[in-house]
Amino acid sequence: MLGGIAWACAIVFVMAGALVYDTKPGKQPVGEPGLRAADPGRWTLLMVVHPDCPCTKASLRNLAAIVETTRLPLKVQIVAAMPQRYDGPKSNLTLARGIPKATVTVLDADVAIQRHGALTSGHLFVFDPDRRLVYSGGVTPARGAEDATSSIRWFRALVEQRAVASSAPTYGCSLTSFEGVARG
Amino acid sequence: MRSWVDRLFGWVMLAQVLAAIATALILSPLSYTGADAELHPHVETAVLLGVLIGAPVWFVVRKFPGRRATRYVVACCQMLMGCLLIHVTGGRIETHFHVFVSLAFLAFYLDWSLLVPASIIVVVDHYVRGLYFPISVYGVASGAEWRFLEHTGWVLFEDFVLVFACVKGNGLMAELADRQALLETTNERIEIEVALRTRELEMSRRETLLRLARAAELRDSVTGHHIVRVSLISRLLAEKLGFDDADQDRILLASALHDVGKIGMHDEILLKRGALTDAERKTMQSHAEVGYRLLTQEVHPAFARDAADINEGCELLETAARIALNHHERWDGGGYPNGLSGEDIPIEARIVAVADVYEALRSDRPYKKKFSMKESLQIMKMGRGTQFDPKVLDALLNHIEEVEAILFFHRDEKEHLAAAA
Repeated sequence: MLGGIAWACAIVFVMAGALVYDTKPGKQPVGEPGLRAADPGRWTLLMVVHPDCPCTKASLRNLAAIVETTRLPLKVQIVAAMPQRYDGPKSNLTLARGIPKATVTVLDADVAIQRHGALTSGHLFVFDPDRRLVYSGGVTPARGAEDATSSIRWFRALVEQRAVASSAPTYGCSLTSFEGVARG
Repeated sequence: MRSWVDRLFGWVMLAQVLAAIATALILSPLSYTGADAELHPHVETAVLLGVLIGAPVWFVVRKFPGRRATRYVVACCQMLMGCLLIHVTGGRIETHFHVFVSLAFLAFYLDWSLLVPASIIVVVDHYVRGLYFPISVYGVASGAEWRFLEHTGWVLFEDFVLVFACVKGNGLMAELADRQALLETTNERIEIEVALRTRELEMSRRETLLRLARAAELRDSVTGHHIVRVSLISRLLAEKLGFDDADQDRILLASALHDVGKIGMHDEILLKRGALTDAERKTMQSHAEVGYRLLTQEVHPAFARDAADINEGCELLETAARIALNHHERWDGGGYPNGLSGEDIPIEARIVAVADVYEALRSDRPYKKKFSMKESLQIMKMGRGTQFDPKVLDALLNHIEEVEAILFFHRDEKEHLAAAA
């Protein structure tokens, strides 16, 4: 009996741990991209990604869903923040290059952080056609949570200036091993 | 049957654990902090929960297959595995098929009560995760607080169908078991009936043969138990020579007919007190062939429904015929009717030859008094390798006490009377 209770508790504990991890956000950005990043007269979507963070695949797919379904003039910029000494897989670059209209730029991670301020992979900056930063945050509700429908709905609301938060947590790997930055 | 399902679930569970780990490894093998990579917590979760959920199933299906408690452990763990898989795949709606397949799979047990804990686990998991972590179970970030009701409805719908299937299945199984039991009982009854009829037939056949043997004996001597003694000694010798029980029994019965040919002898010769002439001796010696013909001649179709069956395949009659024909043959080839020698003489006939002669020596006859045991044995030994098969004779000599016991217990009536006086 006690063994059974202990077993059930262990399952709940591990499951709860997994769920807590999945909803633990990454570090907030330390700045924002300069105005140069945005194009006047069209919406600019700039996402900073780690080259192989598995959670970021969902962010990229959600971004792809937004891009594929909107008729607005868009500029889509994806910045691959390449950590120093990193020589692992670059699956997110392949994924990013498959997104329509997307321009993929590979930058040294430190430079990318310095230039755009994002510390967590999958962080999205949205500028309106007036080059105002209207959103800074993630596009997934949890780590690796792919939800195209919600993403499209969210972007539509943002564009239509309905009540949408201008920031949200980002769920993904840390772009730097600098102390105090959460893992993803 | 339930043990079989238990074992099947053991393997299915192992496959599911491996699938969960493999899925985690494929979807999210590593997590990163800058350039540093380490095993992704999803993989750790899949391994931990896989072991926690899979191990109890693996243990109970191996240690306690077929038990009711085992089925409940399997049912609960199977549904928990579904929860894990749904989580690992990020709440993909397609993974929810696992729940429905699992419930259907559990119905293999034909125990509808298993569906109760299984369904409760699914509903509670969907409710709790839907409330606090909807992305983990439905793949959406919000607005899923009541979605568990829709899933619960489908689960209940499937439960309804499966409960019906289980109840029906149990009914069919019970009916099948009843029919099987009835069939087995009927078979048993038929087997007993056949055994009884076979026994009756066998008794009838034995009785007929023994009465035939007795008929022959009565022509020769009206008081003796010659046939009984020769038969019992023959069986004893067969036993000592290593024949199995069935062959001993066959020799016991067949040897009773060794002199059946005497039925065909004229009384003047058969009951003559003085010495026989050569012609008479020749006629007398023909009793061996007469007996053989009697036992081997085909039954006329007029007397049997299926004479062909009667005439072939009766091993007892064949043995009796061989004995009747050859029991006066000698080891050295000097006997009659065919002058066979050594092992050309059938072993049954060699056995009966020894038994017949020793019994004759130890019995009174109208024309002679019986010999003592010592005298009889001396005479028998003189025939070693000439008249008798040495092996058979040795069997007699080595077990002479038992032979004498047969002669004593089956002595003729007048000897009984003399012993009583």
